[in-house]
Amino acid sequence: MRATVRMTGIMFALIALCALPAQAQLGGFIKKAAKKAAENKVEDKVESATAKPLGGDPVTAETLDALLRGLSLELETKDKTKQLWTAIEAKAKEVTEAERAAGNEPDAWHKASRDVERCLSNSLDKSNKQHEQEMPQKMMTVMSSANANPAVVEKIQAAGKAMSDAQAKGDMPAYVRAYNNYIKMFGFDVAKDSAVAFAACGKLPPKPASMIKLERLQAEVARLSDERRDAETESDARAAKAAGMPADKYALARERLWAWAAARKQKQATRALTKDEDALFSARASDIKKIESMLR
Amino acid sequence: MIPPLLLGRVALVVACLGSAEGTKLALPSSRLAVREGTVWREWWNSASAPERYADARATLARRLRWRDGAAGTAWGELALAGVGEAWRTRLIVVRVDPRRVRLTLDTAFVDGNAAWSLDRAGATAVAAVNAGQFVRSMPWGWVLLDGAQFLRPSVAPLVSTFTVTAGGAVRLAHATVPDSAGVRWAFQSYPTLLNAGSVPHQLREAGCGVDVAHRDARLALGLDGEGRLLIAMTRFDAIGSAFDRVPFGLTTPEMAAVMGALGAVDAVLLDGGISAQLLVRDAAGNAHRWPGVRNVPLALVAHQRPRAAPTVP
Repeated sequence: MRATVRMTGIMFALIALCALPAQAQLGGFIKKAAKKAAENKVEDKVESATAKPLGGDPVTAETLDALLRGLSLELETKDKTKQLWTAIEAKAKEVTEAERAAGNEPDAWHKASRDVERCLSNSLDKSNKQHEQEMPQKMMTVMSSANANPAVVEKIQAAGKAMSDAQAKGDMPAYVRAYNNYIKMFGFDVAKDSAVAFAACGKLPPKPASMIKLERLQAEVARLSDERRDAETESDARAAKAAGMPADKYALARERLWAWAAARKQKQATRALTKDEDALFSARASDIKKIESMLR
Repeated sequence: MIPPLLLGRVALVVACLGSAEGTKLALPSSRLAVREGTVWREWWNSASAPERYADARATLARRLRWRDGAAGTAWGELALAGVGEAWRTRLIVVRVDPRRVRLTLDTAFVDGNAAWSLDRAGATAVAAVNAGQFVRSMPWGWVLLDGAQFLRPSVAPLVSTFTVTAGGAVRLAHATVPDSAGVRWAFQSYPTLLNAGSVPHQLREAGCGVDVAHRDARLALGLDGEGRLLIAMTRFDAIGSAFDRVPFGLTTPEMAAVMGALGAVDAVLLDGGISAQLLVRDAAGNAHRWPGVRNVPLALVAHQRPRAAPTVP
């Protein structure tokens, strides 16, 4: 708007320069320029006074103009999201085919993995129980040697601090390392417990190729879906900006127009809007029709 | 719908506007009353809004006349009165025991447009509700469908994540993305209304990045102290039910109060306005429906668990 006013001022000046004698031209130009500058100032004031964001509800004629500007911009980006949808659908079909091809292999793998995990967990629980029973005796042994050797006390305290620091930071790998060091001082070997468990239970079964393929395809569907959502999010933000409205107000105004369009399509009375909005939207029905595909 | 940009602003807010001068910007003045017979009893006031809800504050829960639904569900309705557009608000509450149902998420798209409505809930659904917040045709935030990630997660101070494990255990985690191990279904929403019984400070004062004044038809999901789901929906209640889809209703702080007063310990807002839709099936198998104006991309559905086959002694 401001740019338009300034451009008009320059145009006036150019027309005046062509039409009038030199002095009159100059005097006239100065007067016009001064007048224009005053007009611009008034214009600026009006603009700053009205620069507050447009409201989202209820929708006014001014808001509707802004909303239609935003929706036109959304329409321009619709092809991209549509293409992404086509790609998602195609990939989803591949997922369905991969699921069919995998048959019961994923279920069998999950069951075998759960069996091994349960066995490992039981074995480690058994070791832990054993350690708990032995702990009082082992602690007494360590503490009696600690009394004789302050370096041992320092070592125990340092290991305890490392555990609490890791816990405070929420650093699970560091906590596990510190814990393993701590209990090793009392004669317990976690690595040995794990080795015993794996020897008894075996390792987790490798994933069958069909599952690896299925997971890859599912990840591709997820990536495309994220991409589509990002495109919609970006388009919404650009549309709100083009409308000159805060994103939340734009979304509210958009919802109200959506509700009107939905009611009209179903030939129902619009209950979500004011009478003024209904009248406004009905009067602008031909403009709304142009962007109707964005209201689905 | 609360657009993602608003959440972006919420995420960026590290201090509230009033905090610079050590003052709080008060919530817009409002109060809520509940109808008891012919009397309206005020139970919440913005000037003295509780920061924390304990059982003793579950004032609305005590006033609800629960009706039996299928598979251990229950539902009830209350008439509320607030200020402005909320002068007549119907509150519909559905309670679901996750131990007695099978919870799933359902999506539906037609030509890339969101296409889920209550018609898709199916005959085995005992309760169904639109889940999370929506970005145009897609759900916002993390969506995990039957163990497979459909959409990536987001993290912000007021984001809550609802998860269902393979064993059926449910959880609402706040401001973090929980470990996905064992999780079969998950979605995210915002803003958090209650975190371990407390109302987030962004909902207790103005100027903290959350619009605490806007009124709309609301929908919220919570968990009570016994781990049961509480789904609460508001509908404009003037002139019978003819205007029940008008998007008038409560503010976000008022909805936090509603969830606290219903006995929720943790709660989050879901997409309300024209998206809000809810179904509950009664013990006789009849579906009671509160449809939305538009179709949505994601819904949480509670199904009747299949009856166990009789065992032969």
